[in-house]
Amino acid sequence: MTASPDAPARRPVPPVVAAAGLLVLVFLLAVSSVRFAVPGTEVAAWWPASGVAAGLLLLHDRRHWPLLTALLVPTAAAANMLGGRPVPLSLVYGVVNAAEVLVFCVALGGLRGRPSMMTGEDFRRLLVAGVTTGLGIGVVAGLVVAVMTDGDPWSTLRSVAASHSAALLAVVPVFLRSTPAPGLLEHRRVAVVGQLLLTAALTAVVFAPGQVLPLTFLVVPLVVWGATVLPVRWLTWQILVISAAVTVMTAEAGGPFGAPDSIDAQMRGAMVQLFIVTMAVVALPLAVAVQQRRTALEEARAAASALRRERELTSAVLDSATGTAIIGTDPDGVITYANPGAEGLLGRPATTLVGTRLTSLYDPQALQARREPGVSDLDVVVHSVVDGEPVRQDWCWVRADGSPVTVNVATTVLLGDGTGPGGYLAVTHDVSERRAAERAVEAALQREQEAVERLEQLDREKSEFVSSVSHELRTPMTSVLGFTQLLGTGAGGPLTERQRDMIGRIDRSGHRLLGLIENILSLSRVESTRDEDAAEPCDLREVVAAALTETEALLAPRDLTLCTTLPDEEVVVQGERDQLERVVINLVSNAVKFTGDGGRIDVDLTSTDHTGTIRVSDTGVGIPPQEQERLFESFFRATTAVTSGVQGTGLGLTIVRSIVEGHGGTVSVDSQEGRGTTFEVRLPLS
Amino acid sequence: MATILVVDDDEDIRELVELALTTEGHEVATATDGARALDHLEHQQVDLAIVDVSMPVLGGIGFTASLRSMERRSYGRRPRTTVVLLSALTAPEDIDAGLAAGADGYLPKPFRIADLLRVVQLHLDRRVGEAAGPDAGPDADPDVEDHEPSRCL
Repeated sequence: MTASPDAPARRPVPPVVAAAGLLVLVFLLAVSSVRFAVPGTEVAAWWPASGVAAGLLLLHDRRHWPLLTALLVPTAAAANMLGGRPVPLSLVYGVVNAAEVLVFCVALGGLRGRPSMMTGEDFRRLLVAGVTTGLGIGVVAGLVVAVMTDGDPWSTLRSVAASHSAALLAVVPVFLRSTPAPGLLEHRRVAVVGQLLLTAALTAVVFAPGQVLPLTFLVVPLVVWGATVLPVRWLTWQILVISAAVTVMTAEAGGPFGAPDSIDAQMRGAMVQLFIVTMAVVALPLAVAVQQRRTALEEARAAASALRRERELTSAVLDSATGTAIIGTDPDGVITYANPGAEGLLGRPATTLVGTRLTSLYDPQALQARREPGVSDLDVVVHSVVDGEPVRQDWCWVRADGSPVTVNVATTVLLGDGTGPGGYLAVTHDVSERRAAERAVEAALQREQEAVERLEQLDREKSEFVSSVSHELRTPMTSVLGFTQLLGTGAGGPLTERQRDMIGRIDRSGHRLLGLIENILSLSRVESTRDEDAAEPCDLREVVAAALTETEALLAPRDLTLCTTLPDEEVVVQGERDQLERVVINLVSNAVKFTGDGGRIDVDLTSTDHTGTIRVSDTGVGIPPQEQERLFESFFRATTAVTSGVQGTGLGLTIVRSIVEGHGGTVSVDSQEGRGTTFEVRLPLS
Repeated sequence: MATILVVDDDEDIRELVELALTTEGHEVATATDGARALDHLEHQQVDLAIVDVSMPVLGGIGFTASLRSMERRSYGRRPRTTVVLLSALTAPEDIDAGLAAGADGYLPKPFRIADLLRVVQLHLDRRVGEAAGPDAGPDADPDVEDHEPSRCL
């Protein structure tokens, strides 16, 4: 029991200690069996030592069986010798006893692990193994007696077979695994205690010396009662204790089986053995059966309890889903259940819903619209689920007051008995507000789209208008400037100094106006033609070089130092060459315009892995910090630009930024008033 | 001095160019559209035609293409007339279209009188160079490559 898994709370005894203890017990029992042999018989009334020895093997791993079996040989032999038997006979008995135990344990199925006493089958195996082993050792003992002594082999066979069978049946169950029965004693404390006390008292009384034989049968019903109230393990111990008591009392004090006048010596042993076997054979299977039934009942009770809890949970879920209408129907579509959510959605109590048809909830017109020939209304409503996955559908239901409500229904088929659906479950949400909101969002999106299109149209028209106007302005400007120049050259006759001065003013203002027109046209072209088709790979080194050629005329009359730094490797971006040149031209011409004579202008081109950077720096008038942000706005001119008297339109940098951003780049300015300005254009490399 | 045909539907421009050229001593004829210009060229050869692009009836590009076609069909009996287009359309694609039609130069409006006269002189010098044959190469303006049309000079 020390190694029993039934008592995991107890500290396990080391296997070696348990084995040694059991071996000592085997020895003591064997000695006492010889000692307590019924007077006048040659062999012991029963041989509990073999049952304990079997327990020794069953409690230990089968790898240790050979060693344990070998140890059993000297143990049993020593006990026999101590009991007064001759040495050769004792040795033979030792070997036979050890072999018997081994055979029994194998027959019981101990090789497959520790056997149990839980089912009728377990008991049957014990009975068969015990009886066959008993018979086997009886035959062997008979042969030994016939060969080595002058005793009666037949009577030896009978008594040995019976005593060993009884010992195995009464002792071994103690070592078997049994169904744990926790809490049993708490429920049946009175019955258990009563049975134990009554059985102990009755056993003591009926086997006391001078009692009559028939009273011994009174113990059996008590043990049977014990089979119904005690755990199996307790019962096995009770049988063991009673067996030991009966054996001792019969041998020592006489008792009903030991009365010398009524039963002869041969019969006494047989009576004890039969009594023990009867107890074991009657009570053990009953106890096992009772325990089995008890276990089954507990399982059923647990299952029923789990089912009840599940049902309560389901019910709670259905009731608490007040925002969701859940309606169950039978296979014909008649409503059998409606939750509070359904009551709220339809505005009528569940009692008026149950019994009506599911289809009666649907708006007749909506139903009509989806009706198909040869398909019942119910199938129209639930057909989406019959083929498998439920499909959510929007429907129109009618509330109790006749008002329509837009609902989203998912219908599920309930499993039936196999011949068809067991019913339907409609899970429904009120989506009136959601659908209305969706329609509103859709309409708003539509309006926004239209507004965007209108704006785009306006933008295109504006660009075309600006372009057309700019173009139309050029022709009269040609006349104005051309005739002014002709006048200036004296083509219209000799001029006075005053006239020449006036013509100069007309010419300068005309060119200023022309510059404005040029810039407006240029900007509108940048904004209106941002198509990818015109893009081509451009080496920024060529772009910068071309732009500097264009600005040579500006630089020529000035005393400025221009330093250009270009890298050795090409710096390729995807873009429109003319526009990129325009960027550099505008920046360089700005630098020229706003840098006094003696100043310096630097144009650098550098590149990293992803970016090409054009930097145009000057040592000119600079831009006040508070105006740097507005620098790229159309028609904005910095105060330093205005006060320096340099003419300009305020569009040059707007064009720069428009082009650069059109190419996916950025432009930034860094300037100190009076010290100079640096513009930096960064363009993504292709 | 050379004979120059000025073609423009705008009277002011026509007179401006005419005045500028006659002041320089050139002989100038005028026409108001491309069709009339072609008629004029049927009867009278000129050294140079300055033609507006946007005109009713027949524009500068159509005029140039027709003229070049006529010249090709004459198999050398007609000398090649130098054409300089004149236009307020200054986008690169407009200039390309003009040069592709066979124009020798493209002058954007508005233009400085000095620029006009320079372009005219450039093309007249080149004609002289070509007429004189290869030996006259050194006399030609070194800035001008033989068959590269001047764009916006």
